[in-house]
Amino acid sequence: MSDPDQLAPPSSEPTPPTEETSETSIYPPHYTFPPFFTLQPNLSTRAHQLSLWSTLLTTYLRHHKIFRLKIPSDLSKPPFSNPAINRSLRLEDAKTVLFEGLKEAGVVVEKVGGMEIGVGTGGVVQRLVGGTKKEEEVREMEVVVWWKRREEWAAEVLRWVEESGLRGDIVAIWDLIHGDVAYFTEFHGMDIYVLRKAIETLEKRGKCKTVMKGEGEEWASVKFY
Amino acid sequence: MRRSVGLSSLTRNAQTTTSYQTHGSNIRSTHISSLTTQFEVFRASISAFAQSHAKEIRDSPEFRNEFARMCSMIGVDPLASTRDVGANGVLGEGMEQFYWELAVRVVEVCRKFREENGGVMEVSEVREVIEKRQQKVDGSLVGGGGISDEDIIRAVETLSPLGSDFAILSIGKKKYIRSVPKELNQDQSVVLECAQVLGYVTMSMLRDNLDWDEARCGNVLQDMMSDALFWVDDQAEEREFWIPKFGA
Repeated sequence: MSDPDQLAPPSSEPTPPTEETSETSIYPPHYTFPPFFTLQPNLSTRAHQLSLWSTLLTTYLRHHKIFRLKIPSDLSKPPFSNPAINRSLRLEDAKTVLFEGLKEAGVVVEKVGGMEIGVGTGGVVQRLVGGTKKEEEVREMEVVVWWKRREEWAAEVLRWVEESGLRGDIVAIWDLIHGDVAYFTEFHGMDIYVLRKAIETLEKRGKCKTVMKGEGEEWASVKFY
Repeated sequence: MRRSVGLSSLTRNAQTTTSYQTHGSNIRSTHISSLTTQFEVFRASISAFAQSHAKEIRDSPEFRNEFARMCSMIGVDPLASTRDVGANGVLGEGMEQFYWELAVRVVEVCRKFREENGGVMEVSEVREVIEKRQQKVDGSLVGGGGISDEDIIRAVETLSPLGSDFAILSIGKKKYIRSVPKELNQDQSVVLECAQVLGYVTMSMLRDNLDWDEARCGNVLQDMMSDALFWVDDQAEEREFWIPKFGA
């Protein structure tokens, strides 16, 4: 056993996970189970199913740093859809997941922008009406999913400011999101709306102030105290 | 035996019968006592065997299984407690420990998935979940040889003296652990057996294969769905009733 020349077979040692969540570990085993994509009529099963969906959805969004969902267009993509088994969550069921499941899980889902989208650019949804499939055009809805709470984002920005010694400095929102300085933070590449809300929270607590309003949100700058 | 005539033969016959009986019972009792001795010897040696092969029994599922089978064939309960064999069961303390630990994990797994499967879970699925968790967390339960389905079943059986709700159901070719106080009726068992083939059933599959009328099919399926034994998929041609199986 203690022969130093003997190389251990690769299988004997489990390979450490390279990331916190790898692409494959995002998907629970349920993801390949066809009924997972139909909300169950049995209420206790359904409650459990909703919590499974909430976990899947938040894990997926966090992993891919996705903040916004367009419903129904995003329903044809993972995680709402699994092309391998030709199943996807229907519009009504997806809404239930978003507005009941996530709420139950303590995740805020916020409808944003009464975006005026022409009917043509909305999604087409298949609906079962009296046993026959009917296609129906639905107005696109956009939601922000707060897979991290507003206070958590605010705390993260503040911690970063303190750690980088930027207290008292003026930082452009653009730099926070796209700049090299904040490259390794969780808010790098984040949604401007979400960041803006986090900063408003900090402003309310007197931790920062928007000093320059640019032409767009991204061009504003914030001074941290 | 010579048949004698006359009245005296009656008493003689009676005497002969009694003496035969005594003789017979003598033989029987010697026989029994020698069997008892043999059995004691056998039990002692099986116990010694268990002690000296403790490691193999612990580490190899096949070995463990064969051994347990041998025990049950001669009527020794490998896990029998302990009252009559001194401190340990035949398999020794380590073995009892093994099955108790395993039983605890079985209970954990069944509880965890109860919401998903209505408290009926295939034995092999329970085993897969336990094995997967072991790989993920630490080393193993006992030894490194893995667990067999028979181990799981035996572990569940160790729970029965506690008056537990856990029981083994044999349906079709598969074995399930039932962790809720609920019996499957005849129709439900038949439907579950049908569903084993593809993982799901539909109304028309039942109608065509079992020759049941629509109402009977509908009732069974509805009941089983209400008991969370089935999940429905409404995105197929016809509503499919799936056995929830996604533990591992």
